[in-house]
Amino acid sequence: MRRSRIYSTVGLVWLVLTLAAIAHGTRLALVVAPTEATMGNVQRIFYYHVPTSMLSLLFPYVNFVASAFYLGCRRRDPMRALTADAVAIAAAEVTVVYSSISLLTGMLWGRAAWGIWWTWDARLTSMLLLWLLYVSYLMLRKLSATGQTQTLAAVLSVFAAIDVPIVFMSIRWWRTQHPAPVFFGGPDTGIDPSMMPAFVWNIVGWAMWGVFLLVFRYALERRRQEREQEAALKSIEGTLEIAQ
Amino acid sequence: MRLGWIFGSSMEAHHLLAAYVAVWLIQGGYAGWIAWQWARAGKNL
Repeated sequence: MRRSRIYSTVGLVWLVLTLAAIAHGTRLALVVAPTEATMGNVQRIFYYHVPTSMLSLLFPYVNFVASAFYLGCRRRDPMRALTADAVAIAAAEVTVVYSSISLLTGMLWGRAAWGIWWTWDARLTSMLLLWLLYVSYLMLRKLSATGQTQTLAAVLSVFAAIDVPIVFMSIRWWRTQHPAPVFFGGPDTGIDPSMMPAFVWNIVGWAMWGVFLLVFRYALERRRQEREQEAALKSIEGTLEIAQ
Repeated sequence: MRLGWIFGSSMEAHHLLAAYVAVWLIQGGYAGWIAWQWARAGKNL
């Protein structure tokens, strides 16, 4: 059995399991979980908002580690560095997708719960900054014409990663309009046990989906890199033939 | 609990429906874009 066929089969099984987990989590969130006493049904946005927000703080670290690896070995081992670069761009795009969803679902919840779409509090502002940093990273990669684009992007990603712990700690360090931490926030935090299955299934489902996107996007980037290398090789061969 | 209320006319129903649909559209759109690029890159093999 060819290796590519094994990858395709594993990917397909993973995708089916992922969609099943998301479907189950969505059903639990919308149908099974009890209605929250003070906020009502709009609190159900929480089951999508919190898992995607948590994941949007994990994928930047994949980007950071891959970028640091790229910077460390780009001269010593260029082929491995290219692999790391493909991981970095995949993680940056997935970060933008998840942080966009976090901001959007947060605004939809805020308008219904607070009466406003946006406020410049520490959590919302630091999250917007995170989104802007990774959008800048992708724009740099897309628009830069220098031969150092990958290196510049890797340096930017190291600085962007600094914002991640600030986003996480913002609701612990400062008094914000954003709700206090639901998890890891002290002895009086947490959710009702009857809400837990919906939350856990959505965390599992969206984490599996994120991994699927990351691997799929990485494979695409590797395919593009191979095409570029083949084109460069053909160009060199053409030049040598003309010279002869 | 029945799900019919989600299509109601209240702001909370609108926003909840919008949030869930937006998530599926963004995630599905991005996955679709990767699949399209994958197919395009494959044609040049």
